[in-house]
Amino acid sequence: MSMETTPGIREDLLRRFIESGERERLQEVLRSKLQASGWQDRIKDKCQKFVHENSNDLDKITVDDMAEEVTPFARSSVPEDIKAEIMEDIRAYIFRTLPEADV
Amino acid sequence: MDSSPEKSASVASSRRGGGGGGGGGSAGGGCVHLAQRHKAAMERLKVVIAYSQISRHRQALLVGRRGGGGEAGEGDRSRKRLVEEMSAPFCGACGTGGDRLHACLQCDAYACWRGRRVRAGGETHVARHMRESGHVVFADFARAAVFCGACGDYVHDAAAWGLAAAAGARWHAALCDGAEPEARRPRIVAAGSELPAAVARYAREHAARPRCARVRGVVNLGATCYLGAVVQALAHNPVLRGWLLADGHHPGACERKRSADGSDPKTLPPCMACEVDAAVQAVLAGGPAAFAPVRLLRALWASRSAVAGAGQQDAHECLVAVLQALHAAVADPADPADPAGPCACIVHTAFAGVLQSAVTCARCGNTTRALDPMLDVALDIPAGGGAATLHECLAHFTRAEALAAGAYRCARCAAGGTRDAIGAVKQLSLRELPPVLTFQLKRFTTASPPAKVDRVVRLPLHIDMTPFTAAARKKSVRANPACAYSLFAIVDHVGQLDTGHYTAFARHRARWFRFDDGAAAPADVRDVLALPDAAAAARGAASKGGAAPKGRAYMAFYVKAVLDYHDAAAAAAPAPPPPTAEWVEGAGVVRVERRGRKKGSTNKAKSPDVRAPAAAAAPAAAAASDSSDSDGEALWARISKEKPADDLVPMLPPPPPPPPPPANDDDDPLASTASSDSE
Repeated sequence: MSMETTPGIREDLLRRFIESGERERLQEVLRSKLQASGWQDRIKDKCQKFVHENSNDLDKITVDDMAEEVTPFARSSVPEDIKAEIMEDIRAYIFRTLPEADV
Repeated sequence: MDSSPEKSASVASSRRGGGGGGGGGSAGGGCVHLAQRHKAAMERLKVVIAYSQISRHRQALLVGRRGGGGEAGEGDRSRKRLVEEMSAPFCGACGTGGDRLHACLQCDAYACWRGRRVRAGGETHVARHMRESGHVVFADFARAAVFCGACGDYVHDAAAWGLAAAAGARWHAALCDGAEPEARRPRIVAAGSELPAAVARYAREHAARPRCARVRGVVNLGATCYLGAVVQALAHNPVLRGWLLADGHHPGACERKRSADGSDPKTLPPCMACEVDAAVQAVLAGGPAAFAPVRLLRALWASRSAVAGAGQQDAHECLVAVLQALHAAVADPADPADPAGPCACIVHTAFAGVLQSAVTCARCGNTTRALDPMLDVALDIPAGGGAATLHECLAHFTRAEALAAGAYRCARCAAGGTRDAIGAVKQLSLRELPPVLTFQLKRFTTASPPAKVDRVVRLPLHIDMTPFTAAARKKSVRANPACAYSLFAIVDHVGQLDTGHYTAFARHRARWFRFDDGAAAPADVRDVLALPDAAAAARGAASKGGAAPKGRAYMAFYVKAVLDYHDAAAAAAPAPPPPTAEWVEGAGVVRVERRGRKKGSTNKAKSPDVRAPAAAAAPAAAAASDSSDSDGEALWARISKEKPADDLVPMLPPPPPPPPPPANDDDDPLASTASSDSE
């Protein structure tokens, strides 16, 4: 990927991705897929466990602490097929948006 | 859907506020840094929230149009321009718009969370903005949660919370329309008693906050565990509970009415509404011992002689019997409103949806639609390995099903002279979703020999029903916020076909409890969702060894994530105005109960002010039926005439609300559970 060398394209693409509503649509799709697969319930369960484990110093933990603790598991537990499908959608969007780009 | 981080944030911060001492007492907020700049920050937050709603849902808002057709109204055009010309916000440091974007509430800057790994020495762009400008208060752009850089965490602020909730309510209607133009989403039309304004005000000002803080078991009166499970599911149903606690059915007035012809109230047949009211009140009031539903059982037996007597019954049949008797007791046959309108009784308000069955001719493509009223959805459990999910069951339920040749005769083909039998495709879908959606998992097959289906079915906490609606059958639609549901109760069945035991899980004040006859105990959400069973089933399917876990869930109860209340005054208006923010705000049209704010809002829902629009409910029903097609009207006419209730109760002005249960400062639902398992 030559993204690093041309920072302008990446930012421009991201801006268009958001403003065209494609990100919103994909977020919706992803959310419903994760919900159906039970991923959300598992993550929620994990977060609750984290709070229970740290119930002694609840004053000290922050949302960031919880995010740091749960994120690795959350990332790795996304079902592979959902990942692949969303990846495919994003790729399709990039090809649609940049017909002249030689990716 | 996005509420969990906010919730956990508010929990953490409120604890911190209490522990920090200092400014803990000020206006419910724990953060002194926010309190110092509160006014200016809230002014900025107002703008940020509106901006956030529009830019996050720009496409949904663009699609949504009321009235349909070619001519776009003035409101549509301005909304379209607004959406098209407004650019999305970007982080001032890196120019991306993605990574947990935060808006500074002290200047116009936006900063993101890129460069996190604070522990590894990194500095987020939010932190950099703080260092460079000295500003400390930010708002998460997507979730409108307030972040205090000095505290290092999200902080709870009542005013900010209120602004975000109000914005969500204001945009709800527009977003629903965006998902499905002219969405005919059923709202809760105020039903039942009409409190005079003076009484409502008196109740609001004088009533102590109802203490529904406890849970209570229901005694098994000898193989009546099915009744206990059903009572728990009814008592924790937010819509029904709100109606009962808002004095929807008044037992005193009911008795006066029924004994008006001089008969002795003791000899009258029992009134199901009175008994359900008493049972729900008793269960919610808590108490030293479990509740014995003797009178409710008698009313059930009186209404259904088939289930009378000892012996095990089916919980689903019991639920249907209770609901039918309840409908018969409270429905108003002489309702002057509109005979063609939907039945306004609480049962149909809460549970009734419409099922659509579409049959498409394989030859000419002509589709015939039949609409059926439903109180619950009975789902087959598809065969397969491992655990099934509710989504799979629903997909199976709404699948396109080929009808055998000869089973269907197409009217259009017949008119065209073709008379030979041809194939057809039948498909079920949900035409109208009720506020409370009940699923029955068909575990008891009627095949011979009858057997129990033991497959584990995983029930999600939240489910989006959009893909299973009739609208989604026509074309793929966006996720409709009006179709989002949350789980609130499960009825489980363990054992065999002919002998077994019913238990229930129910959510009470955002916590889960397990009810096993007289015992009520806190439950882990993992057990509620049967996560261990599902995991074991997945393993079992892989290894083909060991005892496979048996599915327990038999009925699941879901409630809409956002409950729409119908305002009669607005509905009676000649034409629905476009869903702009001003309109909704000005008329106070949509009354929304957010499940996320359960503690406050459930109490609010019970207070009489929610019921105030009841006075004009009649025009509301009339207006609602205007938009429904003729099929729907005929259908509702049928429903409302089905059960003529002769023991109608015109509501007398009820006396001031009953005194609250004995005050007990302990708000903890666990308080009564320890002692309640005596049978």
